[in-house]
Amino acid sequence: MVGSALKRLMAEYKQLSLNPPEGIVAGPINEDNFFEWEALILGPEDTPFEGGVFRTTLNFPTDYPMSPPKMKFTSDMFHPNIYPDGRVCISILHSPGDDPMGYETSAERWSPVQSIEKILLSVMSMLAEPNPESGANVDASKMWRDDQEQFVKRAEKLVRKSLDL
Amino acid sequence: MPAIIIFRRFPMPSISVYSTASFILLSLSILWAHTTILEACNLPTDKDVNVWTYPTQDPNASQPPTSSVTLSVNVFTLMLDEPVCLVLAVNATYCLLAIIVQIIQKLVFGKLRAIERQHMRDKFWNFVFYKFIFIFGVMNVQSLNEVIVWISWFTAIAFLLLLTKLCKDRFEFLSFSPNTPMYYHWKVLGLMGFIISCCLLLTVSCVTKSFMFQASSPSYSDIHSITFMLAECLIITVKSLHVIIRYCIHLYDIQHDELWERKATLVYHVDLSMELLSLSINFVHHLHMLFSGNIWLSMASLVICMQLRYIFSEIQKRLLRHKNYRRVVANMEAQFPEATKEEIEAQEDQCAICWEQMETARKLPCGHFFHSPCLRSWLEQDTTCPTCSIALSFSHENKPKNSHPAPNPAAGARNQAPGVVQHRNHFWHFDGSRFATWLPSFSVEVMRTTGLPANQQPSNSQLDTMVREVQDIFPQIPAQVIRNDLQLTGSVETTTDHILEGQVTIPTNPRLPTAPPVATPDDEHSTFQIQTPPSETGNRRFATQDAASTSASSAPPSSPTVVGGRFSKAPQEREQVLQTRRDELIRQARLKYLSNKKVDKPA
Ligand SMILES: [Zn+2]
Ligand SMILES: [Zn+2]
Repeated sequence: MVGSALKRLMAEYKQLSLNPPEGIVAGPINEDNFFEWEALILGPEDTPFEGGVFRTTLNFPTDYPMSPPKMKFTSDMFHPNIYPDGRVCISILHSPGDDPMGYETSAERWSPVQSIEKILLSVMSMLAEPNPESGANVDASKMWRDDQEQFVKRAEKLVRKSLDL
Repeated sequence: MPAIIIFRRFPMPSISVYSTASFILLSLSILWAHTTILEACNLPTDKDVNVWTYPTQDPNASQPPTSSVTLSVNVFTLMLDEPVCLVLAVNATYCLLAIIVQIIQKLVFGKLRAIERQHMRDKFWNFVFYKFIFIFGVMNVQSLNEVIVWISWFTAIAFLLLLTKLCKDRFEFLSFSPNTPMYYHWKVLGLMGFIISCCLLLTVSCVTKSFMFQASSPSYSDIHSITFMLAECLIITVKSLHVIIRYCIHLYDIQHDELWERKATLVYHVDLSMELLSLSINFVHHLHMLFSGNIWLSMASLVICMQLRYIFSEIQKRLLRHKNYRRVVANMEAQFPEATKEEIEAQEDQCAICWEQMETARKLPCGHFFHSPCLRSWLEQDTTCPTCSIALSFSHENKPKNSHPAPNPAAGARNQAPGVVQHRNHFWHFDGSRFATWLPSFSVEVMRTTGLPANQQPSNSQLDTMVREVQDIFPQIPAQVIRNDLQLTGSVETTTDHILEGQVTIPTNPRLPTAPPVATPDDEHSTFQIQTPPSETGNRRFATQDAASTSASSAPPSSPTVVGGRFSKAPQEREQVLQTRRDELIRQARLKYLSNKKVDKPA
């Protein structure tokens, strides 16, 4: 049902343009294809990623919002819940049925009332509070648990890189 | 696949070089044939002349063929008999086809996208593989002429098939954007019209030919061949018809702004019937191939068997999905009543799934409203309320197992057994007790949906009363938590004790820990306004922006209205605004980062 997905994406784009949440800029990469978006996420304050502007891409399925989009960081990331290739491991991007990471059942799952804005806000809060239990990036999980200082240094480097400084 | 790799590395000649070469060669061969004929006519004693002349011509072949028609017919027959000329002619035909394809591509599609090229290549090689098996394995073709006839037939089929696929891909891509100019659509639709008329033409010619065979005494293999051809024609006709119907529905939809509620149902049924039709034709076609093959235990029959199995499983999957669909529709109609006009107006609501205004809606037991088609699409993959993820009661007896080919195959597993539902109820976290007090009918319905055997548990109304009793004491605890505990204990006192002793885990709000408080589900549609009050956020944003633009003289001061609260109707402007906002975010982050660094360094 491409038609309804398109209408919904258009509505979300409008919503995100009219009332953009702090630190988030999101929209289609190209007006010719509303099913591929780029979103910029500002690293939340008082976290290791503070001040960085991280690029992500969102790929929407044709049956959106019945299925969640696929999200990927295109900026280099080092985070317990982001795979080395940039894919994001976060419960809101999974349908209730599939449970690859064994999230606790309470975690919020994808449903059609979720939205791009909610996804991006979840990702922002994930940047603020990594969950070392999920092993998307084992090295990052380990460092986050054992050596916070080095983790902060590493994140600082990524922040600089994301700003091209 | 090494052959293909070599093939790709091999420098492919450009189409212009290839076509020039082939046409030069073709004209050379025509010239040769022409001169041969003329020479033959000038020397009437030549023994070969009679062979070259056309049968209908006068027997006195000594007369030079003056009419240009007879001459060209002679040239043609001569060329058919000479293998080199034949090959050149076939080559030229392919070249012509390639040029036609190029022209169509330039006119209709423009540059092909990577995914379209990929699909074309896959489909092409697949086609070549299967048809190779068909020609040599099933038809057991021996003579060169037969091979040429079949190859030209399959070339035509492949041409139509690939174009159909390409149109389908392009149609999907064009519908990915709201700003596709209408004439793009018309071009593709026009091509589809051309394809389907070709298909119909082929089908009709097949049918008439088969009647011709019936009139004369037919040879056994001819009837088979015609049936094979007819089946292939039919398959492509059905496929292209499917694309055309979908396209028309889409075009109708985008030209009418208001929500078209029955569209989803219509599209579903079109898809269902067309897919089943083409699958069953394909199935019969393959069965026919299997039984008409001369050799039973050959490589070809193995491949056909595998293909048959695949088609069969596709049909099965489709039917299972349809069963699931029917079950969902029946359950939905039986259990979730259509909301009355007053109810919808009282909500003043958009549908939370498609974000469009609701004219008609269905009401869930939890008090949430959705469009029927929206709700149906979701219930096909999961039986929970989209907003509060409460499990909805569905009859499970006839639930097909693994019947979800679509996005998440595992989703259906969630509610397959009542026990699972009960277990899951234990972990529900929906947005607080507010919800239940607003909608008192909620709790009754929930109990019905948990699917617990009544003899083991207090009855619904009993449990309901008990929940209310406990909630009078502990209003801060969500009704569902109390309910879950009551289901275990069965007594108000024990549950109260549990709560006092802290044995009952009160769920923390699972939604976005750092996000602002989430709106109540009834206000779901307006969550955005609540989470980020527009005026406030906007003002703050613009304030910082203005400060930034005055401090950094290099950037032109952008007017706040352009960057913030505007959504242009023009695509270019939208793109521009988005780009500006992106740049602005990065610029500000940089400024902030640098100023922080300056503060840090002296410290
Ligand atoms: Zn809807
Ligand atoms: Zn609900």
